[in-house]
Amino acid sequence: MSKLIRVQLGTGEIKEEEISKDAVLLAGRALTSKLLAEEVNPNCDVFGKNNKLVLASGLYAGTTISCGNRISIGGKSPLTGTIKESNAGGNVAYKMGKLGIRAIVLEGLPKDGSLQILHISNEKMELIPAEEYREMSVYPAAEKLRQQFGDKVGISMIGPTGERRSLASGIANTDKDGRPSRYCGRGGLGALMGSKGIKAIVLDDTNSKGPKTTDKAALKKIRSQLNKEILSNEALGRFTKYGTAGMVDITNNLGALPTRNFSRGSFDLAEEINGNKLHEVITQRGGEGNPTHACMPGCVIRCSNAYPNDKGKEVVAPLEYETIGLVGSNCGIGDLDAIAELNYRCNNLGLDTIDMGGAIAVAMEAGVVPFGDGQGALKLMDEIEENSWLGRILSSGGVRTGQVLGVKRIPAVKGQIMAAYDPRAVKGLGVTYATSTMGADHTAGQTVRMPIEHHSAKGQVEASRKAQITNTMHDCIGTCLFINGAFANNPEWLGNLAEAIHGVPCTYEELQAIAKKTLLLERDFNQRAGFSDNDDRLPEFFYIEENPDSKTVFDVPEEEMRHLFEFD
Amino acid sequence: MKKIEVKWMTNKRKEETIELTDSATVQDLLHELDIDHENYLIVVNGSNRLPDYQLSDGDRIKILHAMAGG
Ligand code: SF4
Repeated sequence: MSKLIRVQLGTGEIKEEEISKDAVLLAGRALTSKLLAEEVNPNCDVFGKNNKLVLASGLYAGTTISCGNRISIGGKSPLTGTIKESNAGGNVAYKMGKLGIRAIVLEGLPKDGSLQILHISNEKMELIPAEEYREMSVYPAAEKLRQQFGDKVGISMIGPTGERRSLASGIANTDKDGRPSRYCGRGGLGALMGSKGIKAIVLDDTNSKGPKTTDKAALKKIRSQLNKEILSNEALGRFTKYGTAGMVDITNNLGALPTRNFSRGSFDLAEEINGNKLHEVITQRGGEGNPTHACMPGCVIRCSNAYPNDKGKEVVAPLEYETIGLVGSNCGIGDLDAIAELNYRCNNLGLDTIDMGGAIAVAMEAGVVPFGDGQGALKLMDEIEENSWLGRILSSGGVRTGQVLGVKRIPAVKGQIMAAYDPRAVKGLGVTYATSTMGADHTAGQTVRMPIEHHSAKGQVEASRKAQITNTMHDCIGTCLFINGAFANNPEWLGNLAEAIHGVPCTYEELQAIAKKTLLLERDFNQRAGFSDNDDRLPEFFYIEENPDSKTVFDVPEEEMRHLFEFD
Repeated sequence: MKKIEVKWMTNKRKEETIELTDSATVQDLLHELDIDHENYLIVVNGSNRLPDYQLSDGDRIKILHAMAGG
């Protein structure tokens, strides 16, 4: 039986609740959103005692099913004011699964503004004072935590920007090798964790045996069939080789690669930052570099990588498409070394690279530093590190930075910067950005892989609807979206795996139904928080300024988008 | 007959001119090149097109690998 851990920060009390048999299929985003919808007043002060931070593992947590150990973290978002779930890979959900923990809920506020660590092992759960970690950057803090608690732990943690409640701060999770670089980046959840005075959640699964799989033979059989599917899938093979960076060529050729603050969709230096270049640099430099790396135990796809400098020393791992698009082309920076360094600096400070790429680009548009100036962008990171006023503004994300600097073109929805797809050129993603319960978020409903003409307005609402349901379903199972292709011929495996582990009937249709219900629950939360259809829009410039590379504007009719959540 | 300029953006990195019948569609081009729509993205004059799209003389085509994620 898995359990839910409640940590009341006001009193320091830690309680355990059992997850009942009829709620066993509610995991990941389904669980974070359900708990928030039921227990958090949508109008609460995001940093007040009534907001909660919820971590939930998925249905396959603790097993080595490929891509099956994503961690979902949710709360009322400090950045958007909406409900929020942001998920990441790494080993945290795996440790939770081993420990038999489905969810951890942080409630209330610490009385004295103290900073603490939540330490959970098979033997005990405790809050430990962490004053010596105050304002400590993510990588050194993770190192120190491993010295304190041992090498084998899984950690979810924040950097100094989370402690400062900066709105672009995320929550870093360790990967299977202990790097604190798998980010639940979006929506300012780092700031929410900071407001709870928790620097880190440390999970030690020593002597833990969970999950108690009901049908081990079935699990083993489906897992090996699934792995075969992955290994024989051509597209997934390229994904293994090039990682998410393979997307640069596609978006660049469609005019969808955000360039110089979304002023255009193709970048003259795209070939310097694409998947081929990334693969070439990593393999030529060698050393600690690695073009294919698994972020979590059991992953067969291994889309992750480790990027080395010219001496072969690791700069950052992973370097991914969204970061390349936002921090690279969107800032006019066509240099992987500079992008990798910026990525590392964001990670170390505890920041979401997407919102920070947006913030740097609007600062560039305002003339703070020129477009294309990698060194200038790094100086902006110094400002954040030094906690200057400019640094505080930047780390509050692209929207606030743009507003303070008087920038007209701010590519965001509901306060959150768009990911690396121009919505005029991948219009299905434009629909997702506009309508998602999460604010502008590509993982909420990714349409770029769908068989649809991305420049046409036709069919985009339907495409986004399908994608939002499928993506939410994976968020609720706790699987990486990338694995969806491997289930294409056998979607029923998704349910069969859950059934083999938990011993309760589970069908694909049921998983779809949970996803739909979750979306509607989230939408209801947002409505109660004061959001309406009128907030489901892109910024005006996308409707009236033509993207010169795709030669399109965003023109999906609003009336059509309003029906997106009418599910059958 | 119509002439189509094809640029492979895959590992091949090759450029070629293909001749197709006047009524040819993207599907016919895929057939001619012996590739499938599942694994490739066909960009015609800057926009991706589906198999039933009618090609015109002088069209410039880019062929990219479809991506699994991103
Ligand atoms: S596919 Fe990539 S993100 Fe997903 S589990 Fe594997 S390495 Fe992690």
